[in-house]
Amino acid sequence: MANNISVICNKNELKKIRSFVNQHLKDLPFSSKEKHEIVLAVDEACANAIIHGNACDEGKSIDVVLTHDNSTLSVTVSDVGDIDFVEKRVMKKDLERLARERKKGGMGLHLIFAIMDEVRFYTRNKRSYCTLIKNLPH
Amino acid sequence: MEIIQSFKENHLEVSIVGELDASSAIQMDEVMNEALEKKNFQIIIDCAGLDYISSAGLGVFVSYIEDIKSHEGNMVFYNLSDKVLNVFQILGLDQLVSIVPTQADAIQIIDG
Repeated sequence: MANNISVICNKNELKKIRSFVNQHLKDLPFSSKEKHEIVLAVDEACANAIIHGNACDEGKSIDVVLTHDNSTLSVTVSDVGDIDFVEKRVMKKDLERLARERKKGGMGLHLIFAIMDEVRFYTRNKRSYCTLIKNLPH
Repeated sequence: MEIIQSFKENHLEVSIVGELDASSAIQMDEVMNEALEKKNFQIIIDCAGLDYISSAGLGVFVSYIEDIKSHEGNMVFYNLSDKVLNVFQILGLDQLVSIVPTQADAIQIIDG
């Protein structure tokens, strides 16, 4: 089963994506807590793509594709931004350091890595992809 | 998202209703920034109506922790749903700010 949604790069569209993911997760065997966490992880990946990947340029869009089989849920967020994998790794920072530096950002990737079982970043044909994978409960 | 502020004798009470995400975080930031500019360093935050929070929302609070601490203030969260509390815990923010069950508990911390 596959589902996809495409939204313009406007932060107000995040609510629409969360609703889309929630709807898709409804019949999957995750707990309520896990479903909330997955929605949060996808929200973070999309916020990264909209804000950092595309500078909230409403002339651009991001795509979210959800697929699942009997063992895994996979969510791929793609955009035309060009932040590479190394930069994304650097964005994962320590919370106390962020507080000392009075920083407001830098925690999204931490959440994504904490919630998902596997996270892949790659580029193909000048498009950036972030795939979030969560194993279905046995 | 709606933010309701109540100025009490010795503290500011902020109630958040709705979803605090990357889109609405700027609104929360404006409230916090204005509160600190007006020297309100004792802040209790009612999360009873907070349905959802992402890292952008939490980031607003993280960015004011040091300023509040340096003025011997407090930022106390109460009435968190399990889902919202879980996000605080995943990031470890529950170790940096006070989280209590009720408004009375929050006021007790402010009153020392």
